[in-house]
Amino acid sequence: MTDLETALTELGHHILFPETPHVAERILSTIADSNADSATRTVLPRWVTVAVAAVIAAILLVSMPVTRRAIADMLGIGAVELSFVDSLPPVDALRDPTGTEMTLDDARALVTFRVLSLPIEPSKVYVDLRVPGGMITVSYSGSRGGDALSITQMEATTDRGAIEKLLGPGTTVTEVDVGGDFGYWIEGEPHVVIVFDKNGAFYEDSPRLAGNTLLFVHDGVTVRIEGSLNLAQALSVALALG
Amino acid sequence: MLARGGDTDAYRMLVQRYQDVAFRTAYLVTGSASDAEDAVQDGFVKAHTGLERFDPRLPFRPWLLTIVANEARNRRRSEGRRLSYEAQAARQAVREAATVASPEVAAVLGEEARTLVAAVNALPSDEHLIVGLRYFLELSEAETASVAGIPAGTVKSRLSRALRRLRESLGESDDRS
Repeated sequence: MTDLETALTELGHHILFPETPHVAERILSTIADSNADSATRTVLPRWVTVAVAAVIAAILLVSMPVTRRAIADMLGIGAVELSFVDSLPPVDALRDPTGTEMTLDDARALVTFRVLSLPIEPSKVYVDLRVPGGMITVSYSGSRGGDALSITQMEATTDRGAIEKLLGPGTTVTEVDVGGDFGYWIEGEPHVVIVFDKNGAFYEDSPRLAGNTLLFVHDGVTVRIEGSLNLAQALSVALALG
Repeated sequence: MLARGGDTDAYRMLVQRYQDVAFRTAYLVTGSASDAEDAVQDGFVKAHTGLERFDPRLPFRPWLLTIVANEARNRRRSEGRRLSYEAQAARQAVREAATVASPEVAAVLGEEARTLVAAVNALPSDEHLIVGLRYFLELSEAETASVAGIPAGTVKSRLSRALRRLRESLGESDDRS
C-alpha cells in the first residue's frame, strides 16, 4: 500500500458517518411476519428449513475449521475410506442400497448400534447384515415425490473399512464440523460407493453412483447423508437426527 | 460447535455484527441516511431469505454487502445527489504528528486532513464512491467491485485514476509511491 493509500485509510477512521440505526428488531419482525404469511415450497421436506440456523451458526463461528485442500492420499472416517482415482469405473447409477428392505423398527432390532433417525416417516429402509454390526440405509421422500435423501449408518470401526468411496477429479472433499463431530463434505461430480466384507472382498451388487454426501462419526456410528443437497441442508439434516 | 434449533437470536447477532458496515456502505451509495436505513433493513431481510442457499464456507460479508448495495442502488433517488465527506478534527492525529513518515501521512495526521478530504470530494462521482468503499470502509477490491456492481478490473483502473488525481491535487509528483 502506498503512503497515499495509507493516508486515505487513516482518514477513513475520522470520516463522520451518520450513527448506524439499530435495525435488528425491525428486521426480525419483518422476517417473522413473512414466515407467518407464506408456506415454504421446496423440493425437500419443510423441516430442512432449519438449514438457516446451521448456516447462521457457521457464519458466526469464525473459528470453524472448514478448509479446502488438495488431497493426494487416502482419507478415512469411521467405517468409510475415501480413495482418489483418475477415472471412475462404470457403475449403475440407479441401483438400490444393498440389503433387505424392511420396516425401521425391524431394522433397529437387527443392527448393533443405536440408529439415528429424522422425526418423519421414512419411505424405504434397507439393512445389509453382511457388514459387521449391520448397515442400515433409510430413505426419505421430498415434498414433490421421489427420494430426497438417504441416510446410511454403520458401526464406526477403525480396523476395517465397510465402505470405500472412489472420488474422481471432479469431486471435492472438505473438512466440516457437524455439531462438534468431525466430518467430510463430498460434493461435485458423482462418486462411486462400494461395500466390502470383513475380508476386504467387495459385494458385487454394491457399486453405485452417489451424489453430494456428508460423512461424520457420532457416538461410535458412521453416518452418511446423501442426496441433492447443499452443505447447509446436509448439516441441517445432521443436526435434526435424534 | 454448530447451534441447534431456531435462528432468531443467531440472526440478531449476525445483524448486530454487520449492520455498521452495511449501513455505511448503503450510505455511500445512496448519499442519504434514511435511504440507507431502508436499504439495510430490506437487505438483511433478503439475505435471511437467501441463507438456505448460501455456502457457509464462503465469506459472508461480501455476499451481504452486495445485497445491501443492490437495495441501496434501487433507492438512490437521483444521480445528482452526492455525498460530501467530512472528517472530524484529528486532535489525536496532531499528537501523533511526530511519527509522520511522509507528506501524504502528514496530510492526514495534521490539519492537512481537510485538504485531503476536499481533494476526495472533488473527484468524479464514480471515483469518489470507489475511494470511499475501498479506503474509508476498507472493503477489499473484490468487495468493492461487488458493492459497486462493476468488474474488479474497473475498480483497479478507477482507483488508479483517483490516486493520480489526488496526488496532483496534493502537489505530489506521479512517480512518488
